[in-house]
Amino acid sequence: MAGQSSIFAEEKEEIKIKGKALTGATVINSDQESSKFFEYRDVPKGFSFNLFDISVEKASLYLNFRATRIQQNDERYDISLGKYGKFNVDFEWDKIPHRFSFDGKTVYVEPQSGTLSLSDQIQKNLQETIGDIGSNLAQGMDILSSYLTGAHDAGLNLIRKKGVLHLNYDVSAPIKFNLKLQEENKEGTRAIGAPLGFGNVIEVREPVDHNTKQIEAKLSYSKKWINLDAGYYASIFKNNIIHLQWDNPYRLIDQAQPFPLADLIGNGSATGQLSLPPSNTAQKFFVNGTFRILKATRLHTSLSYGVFSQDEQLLPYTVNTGLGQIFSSALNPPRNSANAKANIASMNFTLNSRFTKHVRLNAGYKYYNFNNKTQELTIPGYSRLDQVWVDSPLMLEPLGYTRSSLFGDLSISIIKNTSFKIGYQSKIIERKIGSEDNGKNTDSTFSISLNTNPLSWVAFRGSYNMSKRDWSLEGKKDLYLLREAGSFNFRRYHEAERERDGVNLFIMISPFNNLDLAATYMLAKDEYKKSEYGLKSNDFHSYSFDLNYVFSDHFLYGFYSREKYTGFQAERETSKPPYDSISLNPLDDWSAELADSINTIGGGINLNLKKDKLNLDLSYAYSEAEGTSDLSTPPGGNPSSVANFEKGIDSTTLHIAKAKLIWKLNPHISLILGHWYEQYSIEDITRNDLQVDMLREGFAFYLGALEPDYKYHVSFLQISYIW
Amino acid sequence: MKLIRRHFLPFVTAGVAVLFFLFLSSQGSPAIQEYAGIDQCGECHDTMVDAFKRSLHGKKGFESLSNRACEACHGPGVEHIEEGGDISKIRSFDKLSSQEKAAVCLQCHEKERSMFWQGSLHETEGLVCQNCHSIHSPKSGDFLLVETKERDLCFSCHQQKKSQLYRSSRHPIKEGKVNCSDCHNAHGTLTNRLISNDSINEKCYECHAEKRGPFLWEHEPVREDCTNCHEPHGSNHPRLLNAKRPFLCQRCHSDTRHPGTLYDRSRITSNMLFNRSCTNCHAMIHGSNHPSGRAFVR
Repeated sequence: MAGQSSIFAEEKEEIKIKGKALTGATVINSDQESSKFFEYRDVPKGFSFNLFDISVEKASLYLNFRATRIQQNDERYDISLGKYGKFNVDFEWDKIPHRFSFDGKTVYVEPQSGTLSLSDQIQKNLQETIGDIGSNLAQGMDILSSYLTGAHDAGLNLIRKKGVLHLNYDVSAPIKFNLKLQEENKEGTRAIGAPLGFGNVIEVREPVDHNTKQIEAKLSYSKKWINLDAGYYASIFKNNIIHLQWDNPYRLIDQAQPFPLADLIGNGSATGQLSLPPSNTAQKFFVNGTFRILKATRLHTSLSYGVFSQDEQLLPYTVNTGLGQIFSSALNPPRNSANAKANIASMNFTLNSRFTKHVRLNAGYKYYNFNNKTQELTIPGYSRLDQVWVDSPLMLEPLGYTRSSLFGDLSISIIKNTSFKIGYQSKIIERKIGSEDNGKNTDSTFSISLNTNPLSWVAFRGSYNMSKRDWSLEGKKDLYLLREAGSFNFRRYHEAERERDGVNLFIMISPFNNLDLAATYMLAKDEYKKSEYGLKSNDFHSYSFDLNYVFSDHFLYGFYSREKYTGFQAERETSKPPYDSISLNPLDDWSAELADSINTIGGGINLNLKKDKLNLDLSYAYSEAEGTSDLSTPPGGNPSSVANFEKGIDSTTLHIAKAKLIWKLNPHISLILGHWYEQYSIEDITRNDLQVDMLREGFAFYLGALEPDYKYHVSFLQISYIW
Repeated sequence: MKLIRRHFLPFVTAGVAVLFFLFLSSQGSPAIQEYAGIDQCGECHDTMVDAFKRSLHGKKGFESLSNRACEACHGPGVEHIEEGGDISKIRSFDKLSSQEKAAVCLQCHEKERSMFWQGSLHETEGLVCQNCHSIHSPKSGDFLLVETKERDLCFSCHQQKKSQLYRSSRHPIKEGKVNCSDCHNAHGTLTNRLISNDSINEKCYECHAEKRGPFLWEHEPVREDCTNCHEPHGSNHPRLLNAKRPFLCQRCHSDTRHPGTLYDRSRITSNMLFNRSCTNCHAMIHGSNHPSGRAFVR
């Protein structure tokens, strides 16, 4: 009876092969084509090979291959091979499209990467018509509008192609080696703002050609009393197009008018030039460890030290030769390259101990330092939009910060399956500009929580936390200059004093076998009481319900969630001269209450119409999000009144309904017949009436790259083969 | 007294040592003959044993961890068999407390990704391995999860995150291109919010390395925390933003002229409100490497 047969005692070394293939045809019908439907996926018309999955095993050796959405722009391949308990090698190849719009249009051509050109004739015509100080602006815009009607198609989309290689190797019992190599190319175009003046706003296509390589190598050591990981991580990001240059439609020849003409349309550079994200690298060494001090006591640690750096060649202050005549060095860069670097140090210690069966302590310290070592730079001034030279010396000092926190919590479980936890955390963030202190936040958080499983079919979790954040520069630093003594206590919410309350409740009950009901309530309130201006409050609350029910061989589920986000902010408008200081008139104040309300509902049923033969799956999900704003201002100031948005500022709705019938003809072959309907609509005050030509309305022309509403019907017939 | 010390003390010492040794040895692992072996388990639990042999834990190669198969987790089975299947004579998981259940798994799995499990956020909320994983009836082959898809498992508690999947601006989670575990380690990390990197920003830079810099002109709230402006789980605002522009930007910027101006319906087509709002001009908002990039317009 007390035999000792090992699971592996008498194993026959036979090869086991199993697999699955899925292929079929799809028909798509839509009222209009929309990039939004295809945002992150292909939905191919006609025949497609959706899945091929094969796994081969012999004793402890295995090989798995899985291909999905084969030969599509969102295809993925995974290969995994290895020996159980010894090593495994995974390789993954994944393509991820991101389609922004099919509808963009542009008058620019791109003769080489990063250069957007207009014909000299366009520039000459407009320069001669509008004049050097914008005297004939209306006529010039008519001419430009006529060119914009001939804009050619310019879709916006990116594609990422990512390859990842993972190797895990058990060197010997306590030691394991892990290596991850990843390379990703991201190519395509996306929209970018390329302005050449306040009245000369242009949206163009940014060419994207990025390559990111990552490597992570790690050794792990595991014994009963210690687990240790030590390793190295590096990431090399290369941007193959680091500058964007584009023609100014209003100028063929550079010029620079003096104030007050400098900001006029008609003044400026023949081209603009901006720096796209620079190539950069990141490296770090890390050590993570857990020490089992006693049976129920752990000391967790993680330490890492690394560097971010980039040393891209700098562009000159401007390419406008007219500005070069005002300031001779404007056409040169302040130095050859960025020489930008930051040292990153991270340190975490946590002690967790179960003193007794009923009492547990968790305490620790976290530290994170972003020590910006970018070489300081003093500049005599700068070019604004290649139109104006701002003669204002500035010193660029590197921004850095340190975050640290000390925390502790105590859990007590007196009743079986119930624990009560009380905790405290003190978090500090210290900011620096160069070597100077730029303020410190101290955030003290008190929290309590209760987790209980009083009965096997009831689980409840509830928590409350309350925090108060102080700012060391409160009352000592004014963000904006006032000409005379007055009040404009504007605060930035990421550093302002804040009081926060949060509640999180979760309950799950399973009153009957196979029936689960869950409900969640969340509340978060931020108040910035010392901020007379800026963000003053930010609230969030949400409740949701979930149902899962298994009956006979069927499965029913449903969910509903409602969320509301509300933010209230106060500002002051200073849109009359003099502009060197903020208005002192409180009648120039205005405020905005923005609210987002979201409802999401869905459900589905999976019916085994005939066991192991016929299965029907139905599902539906609906989500609506509505954004509103309530703007106000006291009468008599500037603005003296408010024109509120009548219907809300944005709203989106999404319906997804799916039906799938699976008919298992035999143990190997199944037929799948399905239909899926998806409907999306969007109303957005900032995009509804988007057109390429908005010269007269907003002194701008855009790509007109919309993501229109859609209604898509997709029907498919597939055949699946399993062996 | 001296006599007693000289003659009896050594015996007392030896006696204590023997007792101690006996005590220690009684705490050692059960004698080998108390383990029955998987074939014996299969006499009654044939379906479960067949499934186990096909599972990851049943594969040859795990001998370095244990060759006890079922009894590695359920304990020695001889007594259970001899008593006719008496459930009290074997480790039945239904009878165990949460900590006891987890302790069984952690014998082998308290390392690598689960290294920081004890004291982690999920663990201190009362979750155990069996809430998410199933040895005998997993729905997913990868990682033996109790749900077919990883995200459905997470959404069983994080319901609000599920609704964010349906927002107009989101990561490609529905398409399976991004998973919850790409950013979070549910087994515990020493970083806030179970982020599997040293900071939120470093996690974002893994896929968005072009935002890493450092830049000549840094934007302070961007450098500190991407979530100052973005909601990574899904938003009804473009680019995963927390609020609508220009109001989002005006929460920090209220300077003279256009930053502090009220953009209401009368200014709907203004290039400071329409389309991309502030970023129509301030395109390099994450940081600029241009000498004239002070306002991120270059």
